[in-house]
Amino acid sequence: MTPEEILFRPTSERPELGELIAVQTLYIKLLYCEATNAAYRASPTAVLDDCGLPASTATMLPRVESENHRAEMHGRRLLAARELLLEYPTLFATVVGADCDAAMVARQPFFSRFLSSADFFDPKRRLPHAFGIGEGYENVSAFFFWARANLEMDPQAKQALFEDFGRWLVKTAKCSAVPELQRHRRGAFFFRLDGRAMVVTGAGRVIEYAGVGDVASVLRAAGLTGLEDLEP
Amino acid sequence: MRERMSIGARWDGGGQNARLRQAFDAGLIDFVEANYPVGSGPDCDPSMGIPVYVHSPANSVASPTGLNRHICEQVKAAATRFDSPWIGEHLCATGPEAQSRLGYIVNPILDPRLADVAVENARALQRYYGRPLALELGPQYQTVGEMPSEMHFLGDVARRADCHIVLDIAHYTASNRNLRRSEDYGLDALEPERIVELHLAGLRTGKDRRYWHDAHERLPDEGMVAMAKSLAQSLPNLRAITFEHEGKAPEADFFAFLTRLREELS
Ligand SMILES: [Fe+2]
Repeated sequence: MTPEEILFRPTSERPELGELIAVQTLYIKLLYCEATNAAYRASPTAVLDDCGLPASTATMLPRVESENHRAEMHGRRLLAARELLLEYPTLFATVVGADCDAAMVARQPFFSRFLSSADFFDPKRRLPHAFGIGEGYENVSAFFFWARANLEMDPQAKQALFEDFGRWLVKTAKCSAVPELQRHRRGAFFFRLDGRAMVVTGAGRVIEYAGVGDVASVLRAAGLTGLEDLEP
Repeated sequence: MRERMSIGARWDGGGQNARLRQAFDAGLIDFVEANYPVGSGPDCDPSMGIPVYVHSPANSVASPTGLNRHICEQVKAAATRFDSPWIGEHLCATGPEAQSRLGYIVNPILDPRLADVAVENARALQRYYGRPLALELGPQYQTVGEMPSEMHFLGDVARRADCHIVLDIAHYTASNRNLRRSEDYGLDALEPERIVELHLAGLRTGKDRRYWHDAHERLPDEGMVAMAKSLAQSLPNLRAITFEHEGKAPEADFFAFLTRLREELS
């Protein structure tokens, strides 16, 4: 076989690796997801059974109650919180606190829910990465899609989420050669809960759009991305 | 006679270009080691006329999911362009699928079946790149699986896949402290002639003061420097030492430590 055939063959062509992939998937889930940890603590065999794994594979998984496992989880939560805090400063100042740091973000129940969600685990529920390596290499867009659908937000928080994400999207689009990202270079728009249209410009400024009528169509025609219905 | 030891510094982005250029011109470094993939902007070229060693923390070499073709292509193109003497790759998984990285590398499950998969991937990747692979471990907080340790896993995979090894002294020291092992635990599980490169960086503890983490904003402590010196004496094929220090860290620390490395290790 050529190296390419070995390195890039779809896992569906490797049924003999099915169990190993299932164990590794559960292992990675246990490194992030509190809900899976709680279920596994309560009954390892039930979780293994759900994943189609024999009880003997427990030896290939973390001792979830151990201090070492908790320390690794904590470190990973902090890294993920740091990545998001950099790009969502307004949102986290609004929903966590003005001077919040990554440790405070990492302690939030909503953050745990995000790390336990399919939006976090499924690489396809993200935008492609700016470096041309496909989806699954940043958590900023995954968090936006999750928060837009799942985070309870007052008007201020919703505006902060869309502003922060809009700025990141435009900035990322401008430094990327990936066509699916480049189409966001001209800017983005969203509607506040009071119905007013807000535009994130190509320069990353956020301004209110004063036009009337079918605002969404006008802005779309101008090449701006609608953030309410943007999908991975 | 053995070749002179090359000293290099890690390149994480254009923000470091000025200090790396200055270090090269002053004779403090011989190469930069760049983490691929990188972006396509003007700030994304590590070469500046300085030799580049190509490294990647994004490939899932020790994973049954397979690898991401786009990353492999970019790494290969960079290694070809810079004629990198070897390509550093992490012996890790990255995420639940071939194409994914949730934020930080995932240490391999220490299972003989996974070691077999890693051997197959490493062999294929080495053929695909057309140049040697040098395998590196991340810091460990726990070990998962039946093999004695990650060092045994690395030793086994490197031997069977016939790969070089990058020994990251900071990761190794963090793992030994986190797992309450001796500071030289498991070195005997590696074939010394496979180790071609050392990584040196700082470490810090978290708020708990118990667990140690990689800290590229800090300098290596004296224990790690002593270990590097001793390995530089004893490893027969060691050819490079890379100092990993982030661009935001104090410039004075960067130059002072490189000067020390040059004087004491080169
Ligand atoms: Fe390293």
